[in-house]
Amino acid sequence: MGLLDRLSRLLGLKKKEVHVLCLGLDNSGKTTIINKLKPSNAQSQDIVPTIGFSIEKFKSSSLSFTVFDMSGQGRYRNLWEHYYKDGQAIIFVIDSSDRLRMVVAKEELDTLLNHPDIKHRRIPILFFANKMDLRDAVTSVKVSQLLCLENIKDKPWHICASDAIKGEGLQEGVDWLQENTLQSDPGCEDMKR
Amino acid sequence: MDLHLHRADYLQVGVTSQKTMKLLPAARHGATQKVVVGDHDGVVLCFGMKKGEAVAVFKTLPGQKVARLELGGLLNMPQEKIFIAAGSEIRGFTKRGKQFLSFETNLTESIKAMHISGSDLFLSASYIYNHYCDCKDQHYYLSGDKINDVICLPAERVPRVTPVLACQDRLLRVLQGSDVVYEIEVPGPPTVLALHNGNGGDSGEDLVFGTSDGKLGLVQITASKPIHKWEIRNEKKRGGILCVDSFDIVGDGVKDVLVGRDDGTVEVYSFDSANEPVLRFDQVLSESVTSIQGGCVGKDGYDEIVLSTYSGWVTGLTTEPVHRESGPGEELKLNQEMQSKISSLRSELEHLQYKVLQEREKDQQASQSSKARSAAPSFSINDKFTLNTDDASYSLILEVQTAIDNVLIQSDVPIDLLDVDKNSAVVSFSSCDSESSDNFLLATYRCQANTTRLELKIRSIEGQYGTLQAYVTPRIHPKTCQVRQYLIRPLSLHQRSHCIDHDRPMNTLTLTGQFSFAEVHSWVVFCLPEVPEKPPAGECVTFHFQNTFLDTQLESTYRKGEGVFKSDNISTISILKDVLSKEATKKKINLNISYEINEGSVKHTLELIHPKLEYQLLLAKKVQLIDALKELQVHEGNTNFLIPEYRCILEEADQLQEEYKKQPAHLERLYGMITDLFIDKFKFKGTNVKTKVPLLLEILDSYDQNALIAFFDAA
Repeated sequence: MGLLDRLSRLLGLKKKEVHVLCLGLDNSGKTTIINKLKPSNAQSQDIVPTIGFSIEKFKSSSLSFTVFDMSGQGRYRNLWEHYYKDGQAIIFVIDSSDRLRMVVAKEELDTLLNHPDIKHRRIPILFFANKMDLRDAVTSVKVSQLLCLENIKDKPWHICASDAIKGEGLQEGVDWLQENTLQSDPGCEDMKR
Repeated sequence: MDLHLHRADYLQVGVTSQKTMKLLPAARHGATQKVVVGDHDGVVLCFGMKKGEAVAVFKTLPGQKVARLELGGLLNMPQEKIFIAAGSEIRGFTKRGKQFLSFETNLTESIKAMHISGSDLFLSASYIYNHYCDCKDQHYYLSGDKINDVICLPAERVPRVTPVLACQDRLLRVLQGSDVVYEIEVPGPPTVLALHNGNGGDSGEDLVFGTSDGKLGLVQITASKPIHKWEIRNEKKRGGILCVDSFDIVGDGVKDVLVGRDDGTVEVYSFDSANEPVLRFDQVLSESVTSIQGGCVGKDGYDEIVLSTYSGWVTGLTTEPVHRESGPGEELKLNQEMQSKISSLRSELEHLQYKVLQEREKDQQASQSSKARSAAPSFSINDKFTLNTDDASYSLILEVQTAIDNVLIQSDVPIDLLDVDKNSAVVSFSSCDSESSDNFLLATYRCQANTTRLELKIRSIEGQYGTLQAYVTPRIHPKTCQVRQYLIRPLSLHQRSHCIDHDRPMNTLTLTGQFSFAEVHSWVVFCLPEVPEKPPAGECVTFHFQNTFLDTQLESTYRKGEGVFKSDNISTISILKDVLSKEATKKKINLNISYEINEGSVKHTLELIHPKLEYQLLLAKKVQLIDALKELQVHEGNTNFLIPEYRCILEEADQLQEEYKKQPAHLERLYGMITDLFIDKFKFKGTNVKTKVPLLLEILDSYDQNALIAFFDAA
């Protein structure tokens, strides 16, 4: 890290960059959430199912996020683990109106947590209980029960109910994520590499 | 899909009447709406919710009690003008709070109900209905019984102006101009009317009505006759309906019916494929719901049911989820909003405590003064004393704006107070000596914390009449008490009906004498429940009644100088004869009483009693066996060896025992009625058979219908 970089960061001119993985089953709203977090002039109008993955960027008040927006379709899910190493934080999106596939989400979450690249790292995980505007949506508390989130002991986590179309609940989540990425690894991830 | 709604309390205003809260239409689709509410102090408040805080748009000065609040405006425009009825005056406000109309109607009584359609204004006071157009009197109607609500079919969809009056005598009166076109009979006194779907349904003629005994129905008001579409009978929900609205809260594209009741129940009925209403959601609040509306107040995009309660809470039942965020070990942590609410309440409380303490000290000192008088704080009591048809008992409901401390019940007639499951109050009966004082009953109900509503069940006996008094003390300082008086009428178990069976054997009682129509009417009011106090128009009037316990009937026809009472029960006639002659003596009027007894009527009444008595006796017999059978069941492990009859008893054991607990009273009541019938029958013949009563009781103990009838005939 050059002197100029450090100076500009101290002065708050350049924001620290963080790599985030956005995971979740297909049709849970990952791309919509990422899209909504971008500045309004950069937002796209149409959201189509993601093929493979795409890289998106957005900024919060003190961090600049680079997001790997992964496709959640069954055949692309094995792609996820290739990017685990680069992730400094995880956003896991759940469709809270889809009770039926909640178990599938739990399964994917368990495999994720037990993956050697993730298991021993203390990276923050942010859960979005998305689509809370739907009438049959379960509450975020209920989602955390269904996914047994209380069993995650060695990583900081947080669950937010969100409505990605209106953008409700996203800011609270990102604020939490920002606070926790700064706490958990003050730049050490870059040093390792 | 079930409906989950979360309660969010918004604001508290003063005590509210029925239908005094409305939501102003939203500026654009899905945006939050403003709430307008009027209270008993005459204050009209309009507010919106911003980040969980109520922000007032305008608030008027106190005045007369707001009886109704409706929205209106030009036809086919957003209905944004706010109209209130206070006293005998109508006032209109714009949505910004500017008063643009003040219309003094010059009615002698205060306005009870109001409907607004464009420039047409439909008003009703207790018995009077008036139709104004641009504040000019158009039509007038004097109803035979109290008017509870008034509505008009939508003018933009139905070519004729068709106001409908909901009257206390279980009728909907459909008017045209100043005349009744036809009357619709509904099951129970209607208290509220609303246009189905908010616009009158497919035809524009559909009307939803709710009754004070908790029934709901839909009638189509065509030009010549009513068409009943559906009705929801009220099996276990007791409360009377105070408000109805149409709103699609379920979100299936069809408007649902939202119902608020006086026992605090809020219900949502949606329509299935066959257009029949189905209960989708219900929630119980602790006080009566005075107005209900669907809309969006708390947060845009989330539909909710907004309601106002008697004590003035404006509350939302919203589809918005409550718990938005959580994390590890945050189960006990309160969210930010809650914490700020608690701290603000805490500081407010501290401030108030300090202030009250100061004022109290001042008051204490002032009360030493010999010239000063201490005034009692006034509070309002919302009470209802009604007859339940299905178990022939009265229910007395008292509701106060603050928590009740205790209620004293005093009665000078023998009555039974029954247990009500909903009550959490502790009851204590004081022993009373009916000889030295007139008290037959003295009971105190001490209420648990924060009870604002108390429901009592009272069982009276036909023929024993007098007053029942309730002394209500709320938890306010200084402690004061208000007394309410209720009449227990001689024929207290009779209910108004609209038709009777004329083929039954009838006993007739005829009164003639020098009395006016108003006098004889006042006697009938004294004797029978559900008769309007005001003498009806015309020279001659007929009322029909039905005994709720025995299903015997009474027809009363009277005019100036003559009254004819017909009943198939001798006891009814006998009670009437006693009471009427007593009343006449009081007024020093000479009455000629003649009666005509139908011999067959005694047998007829006994036949009506027979199935009830037999059922009670069978119940007693079954309950006797339960314990023994249960012991056998425990010992043998199964009941296969038992005869089917006993197995049947074992299966229904709990139910039978439950019923048996109420049984002694029922059996006693039936025995009392038979004894009365026996005495009355012979009294009309001029003999006194009181000595033979023990013999009759013996026969009843070993009940046999034929033996009983033989005894009635012989003795």
